Amino acid sequence: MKRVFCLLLAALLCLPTAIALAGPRYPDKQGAVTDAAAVLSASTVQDLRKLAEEFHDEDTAELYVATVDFLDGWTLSEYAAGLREKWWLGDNDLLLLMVVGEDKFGFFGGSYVNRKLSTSAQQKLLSTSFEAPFLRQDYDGAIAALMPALATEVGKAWNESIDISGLFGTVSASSLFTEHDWLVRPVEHVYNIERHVERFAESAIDTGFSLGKVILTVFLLLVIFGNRGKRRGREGCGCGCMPFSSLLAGWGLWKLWKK
Amino acid sequence: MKKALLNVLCGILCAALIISAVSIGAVRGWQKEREKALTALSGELSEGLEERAIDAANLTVVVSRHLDASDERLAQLQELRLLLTNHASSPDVLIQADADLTALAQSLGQSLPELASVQASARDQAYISTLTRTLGETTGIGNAYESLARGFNNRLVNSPTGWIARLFGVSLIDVE
Repeated sequence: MKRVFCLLLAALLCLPTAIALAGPRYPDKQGAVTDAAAVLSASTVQDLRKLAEEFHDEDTAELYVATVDFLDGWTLSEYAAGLREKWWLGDNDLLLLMVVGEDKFGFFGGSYVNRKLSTSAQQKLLSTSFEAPFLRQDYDGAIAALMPALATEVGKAWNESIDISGLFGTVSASSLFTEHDWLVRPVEHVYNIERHVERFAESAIDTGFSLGKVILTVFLLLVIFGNRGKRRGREGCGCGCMPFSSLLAGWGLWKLWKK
Repeated sequence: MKKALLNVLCGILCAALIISAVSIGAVRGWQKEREKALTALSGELSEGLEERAIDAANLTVVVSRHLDASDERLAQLQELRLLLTNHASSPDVLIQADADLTALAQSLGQSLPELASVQASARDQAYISTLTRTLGETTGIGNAYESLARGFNNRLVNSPTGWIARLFGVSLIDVE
């Protein structure tokens, strides 16, 4: 009994020493995005937080993103495992770790996440969307390229619709035409056409020359000058209206052609 | 007569028991104190050395992008980092490694920024500047250890139980 007690005591005394000697310098978790290396812009961080919220609301994976400068002498997988432990990340949590000072990165998911979205699918996403801009040190660009693709894959894997409109440079739903915009727009277009027609009509009247006018003019001239034959002795109607009709025709011509 | 002899014998026995108890206690106590001072570098002072070893590892990653793999400064940096993380090393070795790391960091801080490859990378310029500045600062670890050791030596020399312990083989700690 005494021996067991002494062994236990010795083990307990050794334990703090072992822990004090362990591990790299992990950053404290700051919500879904921990930009310890300070390489992401404020808008990228905000978009990432919104995306993580969207993942959470749709009951898919819980997304965490961490940027650090170095691995403190550890390998990427060792560091990530330690970080997941420190942050108490579980089976449904997906960690994107970006080590900007060593040009290393990776997805580290819990067992449930890795079953739904395979590690090979995660690798493929990184190599096709993320790697090139990351290695160019365009960290905002790397995130903006990766996250829409990740959202699509997570949506497929969990059979959910992940809305990323307005995030990472995608078009926001609010910037599309609303129903009101759609109803109003043709009306304005027609109104503009009508105004154009009016202006055209006005300009046509101002320039003055039309077929109708020409025909009318010829007729009125015949009325005026055609009566002259009758005045040379031909028989007229005897009512004395010839001068009057000429006057009327002349007045009509004047009205027709005046500007 | 017999009674008197018996009394004397008992007295001698008691005295012997008391003297041996005091001696054993003195030796064991001072041995523990000596050990505590010797292992300070792997105990209370170890955290500082660990931090420096981590910074040395990170500096190695950055420097290896700009120096040839066969460059002796790179090899020295890696060796010093390993020494600082080896708690089996004696205090003298640890203190010397710490001092060598300080000197090497100062040297790298001056020579690396002149390289064209470093000038082409704003990121690495920032990392080199920060890490060499941190590592190039003289630490108090060596002084802290020396003061612990000197303190032990002074107490051992100036206390009665210390004299007894020295009689039975407890020695002073070598300090430069």
